[in-house]
Amino acid sequence: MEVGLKAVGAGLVMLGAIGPGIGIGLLAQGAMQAIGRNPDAAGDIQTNMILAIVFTEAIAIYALVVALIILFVL
Amino acid sequence: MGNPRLRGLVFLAIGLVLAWLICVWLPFTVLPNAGIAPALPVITVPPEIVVYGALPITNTFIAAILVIAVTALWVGMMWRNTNGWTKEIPDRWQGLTEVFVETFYNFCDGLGGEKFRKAPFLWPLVSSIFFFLLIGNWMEIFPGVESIGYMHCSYPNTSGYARSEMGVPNTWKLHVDRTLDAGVTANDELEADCIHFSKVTDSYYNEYDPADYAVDRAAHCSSLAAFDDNLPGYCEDIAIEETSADVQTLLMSNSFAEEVEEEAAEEETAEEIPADGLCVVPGLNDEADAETAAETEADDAMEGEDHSDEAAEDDAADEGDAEGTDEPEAATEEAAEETASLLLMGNSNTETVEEGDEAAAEGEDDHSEEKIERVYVFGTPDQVAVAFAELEEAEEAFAAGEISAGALEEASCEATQMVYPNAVFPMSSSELENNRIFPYVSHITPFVRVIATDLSLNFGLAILAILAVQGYGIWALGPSYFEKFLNLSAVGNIASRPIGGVDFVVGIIEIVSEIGKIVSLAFRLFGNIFAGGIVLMVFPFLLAFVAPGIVIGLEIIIAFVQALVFAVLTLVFAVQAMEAHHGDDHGDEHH
Repeated sequence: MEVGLKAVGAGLVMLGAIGPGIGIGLLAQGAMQAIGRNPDAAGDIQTNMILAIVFTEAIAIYALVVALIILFVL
Repeated sequence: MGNPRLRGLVFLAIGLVLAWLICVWLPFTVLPNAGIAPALPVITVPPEIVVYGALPITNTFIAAILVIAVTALWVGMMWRNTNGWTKEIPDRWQGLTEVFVETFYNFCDGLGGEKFRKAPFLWPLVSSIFFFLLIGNWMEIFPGVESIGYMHCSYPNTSGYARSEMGVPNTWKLHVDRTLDAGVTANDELEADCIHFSKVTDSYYNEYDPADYAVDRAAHCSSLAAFDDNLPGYCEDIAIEETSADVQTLLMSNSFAEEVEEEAAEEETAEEIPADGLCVVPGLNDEADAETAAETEADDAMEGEDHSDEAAEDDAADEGDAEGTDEPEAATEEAAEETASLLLMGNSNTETVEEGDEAAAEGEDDHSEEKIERVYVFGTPDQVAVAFAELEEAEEAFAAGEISAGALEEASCEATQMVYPNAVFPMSSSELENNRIFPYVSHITPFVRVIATDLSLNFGLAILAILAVQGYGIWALGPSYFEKFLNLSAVGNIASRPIGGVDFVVGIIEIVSEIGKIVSLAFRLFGNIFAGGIVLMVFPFLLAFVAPGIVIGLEIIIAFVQALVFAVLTLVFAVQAMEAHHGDDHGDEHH
C-alpha cells in the first residue's frame, strides 16, 4: 500500500508540469509570431527563446525532482 | 534474382528474420531460459560507494576521473598533433576539434559580445563547464556505464534477484529467468542472511571460519558507520555481540526470542507481496514453521542441552500469550526484535559449528559428500533430510501429474526455507544438492555512474559558477557591484525619493535570487540527467523493440542541451553581473 501511495504522490507532484507546459507553449507562440514578422531576426529570437524555455522548464524540473525523491528516497 | 524488386524482397525477409531472432527470440526466449534475462537496475539518488575505506570512492567520482582523463587525452593529443596549435594546415582531427570549439565560441560571442571577450578567464570557465558536462552526460549512452559493476547482497529496501553459478565454481550471475521481472525487495534480515550465506559458501574455497562471521559483520558495520548514519538493522546489535559472547549463548537458549522472531515474520509476511514465482519472504507458513521449531528443539534435546524442556514450556506459554494479547508494548517489541536478530545469527553459527563437528566426527568423506555437507550451512542435518524427502516427493507427484505447478513451487519454497531461512527463491532438489542457486537477493552496483546524477557535483559546479559571476561583477563594477544587493544610496535618498525604499527591498530579493540561481542550475542538470538515465534503463522494460532506440537519440540531445544550458547560463549571468544596474541613477552607465 505504501508503494501505491508513493506512486500516487509522485503522480500528483507531476501536476506541477502543467504550468511550465502552458508557459513553454506561450513562449514558443510568441517567438514564432516574432519570427513571422521579422524573419531576419530568427537567430536572435531562437537563442532567447531557448534561454527563456530553459528558465520555464526549471519549474517542471523541480516537480520532477520532488517526484523522483518521493519514489526513490522516501 | 535479376529483378531488383525480388532481390529487395529477399533482403527484407532476411532482415526481418534476423531482427526477429535478435530482438525477440534471443532476449525473450534464449536468455530467460539460460537465466540471464535483463535485470531491472537498482535506482538510488545518492551515488553508490564502490571502494570502501578511509576515503570511500563513489562511482560518480570514478566517472568524473574518467571524464577528466578523456578530456585531457583529447587536448593532449590535439596539442601534440598540431605542434602546440602552430600547424598551419589542419588535419582532420584538428578540424573536428576546431569545429566544436569555434562553434561554441561564436555562440558565446553572440550572447556575451564585448563583455564576453574582455572578461578574464570567462571563455575558459564557460568552455570547461560545457565540455566537462558534455562528455560526462554523453557517457550515459555508452554500454556498460551504469550497468557493469560488482555483485553483492541487496541492501534493505532495494530489489534484487537470486544468483546462480555459471559453471565455474563460485562464479555467480544474477538469475533472472523471466523477462521483465522486477525482483524481490530485500530487508535487513535478508541482507544479513545473504551476507552470511556468501561468507559460508566462500568458505568451501577460502576456508572461512563461520565463527569469524560476527567479527566480519562488525567490521562491515563500522566501515558503513564511517559515512552513513542510517545503519542497517543488524548493525545495531554489533556492540552487544562484541562485548559479551555470554549474551549470545543466553539468547540462543531462550526460545522467547524465537517466538518473537516468528511474530515479526508473520507481520512482515502480511505486508510482503511476493513477485510471481517466488517464495513469500520470510515465508514461514505456520505448519512448516512449527515443524522446524519442533525439530530444532528435538535436535537440541538429543545433543543433551538442558534447557529444552523448560524452553518448550516457555515457548508454548509465549505462543498462547502472543495469540491472546494483541498489542505488546512498543519498546518491548523493539527490544525483542533486536534479540530476535541476535538469535538468528547465533542459531546459524551454532548450526554451522554442529555441521563442522559432524564432518569431523565422520572423518574422511568423498568429495561429493563434502560438497553436500557445505550446502547445509543453515539447517541441521535432520531438517535437511526432511526438506529433501518432502521436495522429492512433491517433484515425483508433479512428474506424475498429481499436483499442480503452483503446489510444487510451494513445496520447493518450503523445503528451501527449511535449509535456508528467509530464502526467496524456490530451489529444486538437484539445485539444493549442488548448491547452484544463491537463494537470497543480490544486485549489481555499477562501477561508473554519470557524474551529473550526483547532486554534490551539480551543486559544487553551480556554486563555483555563481561565485565566479560575483567575481566578474566586482571586476567590472568595483565595490558598487554590491549596490545591487544592498542599495545604500536608495536608503540615503529616502527623504527626497521615498519610492527608493522599493529599490532597497528589490536588492534584498536579488540576494535570494542568487541562491535561487544556484539551486535551479543544480537541480535542472540533476533532474534532466537522472530522469534520462532512469528512462534509458526502464524503457526497454516498457516497450522492448523500437522505442529504446528513439529514447537513446532523445537522451543524446538532452545531454547536449543540458551541458549547453549550464554553460550558457553561467555566461549570461556573468554578463548580466557586469552590466551596471538599473535604478543606479548616479553611477556611470559604462566603465
